[in-house]
Amino acid sequence: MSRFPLDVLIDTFYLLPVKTLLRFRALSKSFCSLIDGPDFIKHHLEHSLSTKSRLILILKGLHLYTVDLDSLDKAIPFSEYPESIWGGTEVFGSCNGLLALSNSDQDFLLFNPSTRKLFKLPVEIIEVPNDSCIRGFVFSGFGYDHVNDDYKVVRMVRFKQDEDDNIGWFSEYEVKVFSLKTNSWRQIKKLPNYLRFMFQFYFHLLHIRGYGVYACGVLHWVLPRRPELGVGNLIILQNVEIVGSENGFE
Amino acid sequence: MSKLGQAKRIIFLKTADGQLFEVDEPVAMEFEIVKSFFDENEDAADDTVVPLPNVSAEPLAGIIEFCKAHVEFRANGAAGKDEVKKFNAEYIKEKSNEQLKELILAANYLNIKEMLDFLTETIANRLKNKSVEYVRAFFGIENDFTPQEEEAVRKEYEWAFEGVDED
Repeated sequence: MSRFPLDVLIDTFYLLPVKTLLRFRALSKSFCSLIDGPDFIKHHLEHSLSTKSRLILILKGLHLYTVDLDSLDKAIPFSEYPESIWGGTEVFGSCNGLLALSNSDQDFLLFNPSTRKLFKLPVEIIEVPNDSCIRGFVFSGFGYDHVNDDYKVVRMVRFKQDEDDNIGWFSEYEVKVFSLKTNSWRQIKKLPNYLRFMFQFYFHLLHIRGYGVYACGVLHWVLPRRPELGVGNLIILQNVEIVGSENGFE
Repeated sequence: MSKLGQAKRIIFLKTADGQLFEVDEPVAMEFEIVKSFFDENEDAADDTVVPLPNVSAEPLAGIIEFCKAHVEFRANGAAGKDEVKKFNAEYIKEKSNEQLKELILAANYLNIKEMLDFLTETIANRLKNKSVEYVRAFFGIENDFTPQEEEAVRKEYEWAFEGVDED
């Protein structure tokens, strides 16, 4: 059957689950490079996204689990996955089948549950702006930058004047963005004023955990209501593609 | 060619093994290759025989059966409904892998997108749990890895080789 048309064969492969494709890398050298190739991966992802197929549910109890939406009867614990993922690991974002995980505010990982590949981000320290402040809460987000074909992690750290500073009105922020393409972090210096509205005592802890929600190419954070400051229901948006530039906020 | 005063055009198709098929026009026009034949030869006589040198009678009969049903589904507004899925499942159930491949080759040559989509989906479903050896045999893929190289490639994602069908 060597006359089987290659384009039809490739169209067939776009329909296969990732696990099957990883197995079929062993078919031959040319199939291995086909399946590993960026074009193939891109088409395969586009097909999965457009047909909303191969969806995975992430569950968190004492451990993290993945559940294949096509076979809901089996939850695979992350413990079968690499050792840097454990019960304390938080999933702070997901996009195009990739998960953004954190073990601490400086220990971030990207994880592809379909290939079980793990990528550790370089450690980027949090720089406290002056001796009088201490580190407060951290807001993280993860998304895909369509313009630069890049995945980015955003980390916003709020600083407090002291332990009892729960108002946050005069808070300083440090915002840093990681680009997967360059495998490096960079700091955003020009920050909008309303960042100070992002924090309210307990809100971070009980309601939103400070994770940005990625939708339609944009990261979203819900601001706490602060009627005393005239802030009602507000969502702030952050364009992933321009977050690398000086004013990546809307 | 009229039937109860209603013109119903028949298209003549001739397969590689010399068989002549008479197909209703809307069904034949599902085949992109037949459609463009008549688009390019607008003044072709009604009894023109379209040669199909890359298709033999058996798959063509199967394709006509499929397209005829789907043309009717569309005419009845049943496209995309359970009825269609039921027909498709029933249609493909008894087909062997060899027959499936023959159908794909023919549908690809005739350029019938809807059927090709259905057939590639069927193949993907049949192969997704199969072993590397099975799929090599299915597509006639020559293994050009040395045993050591193949071993190394398999090692990279060992877990992907678990839970494979036995055959």
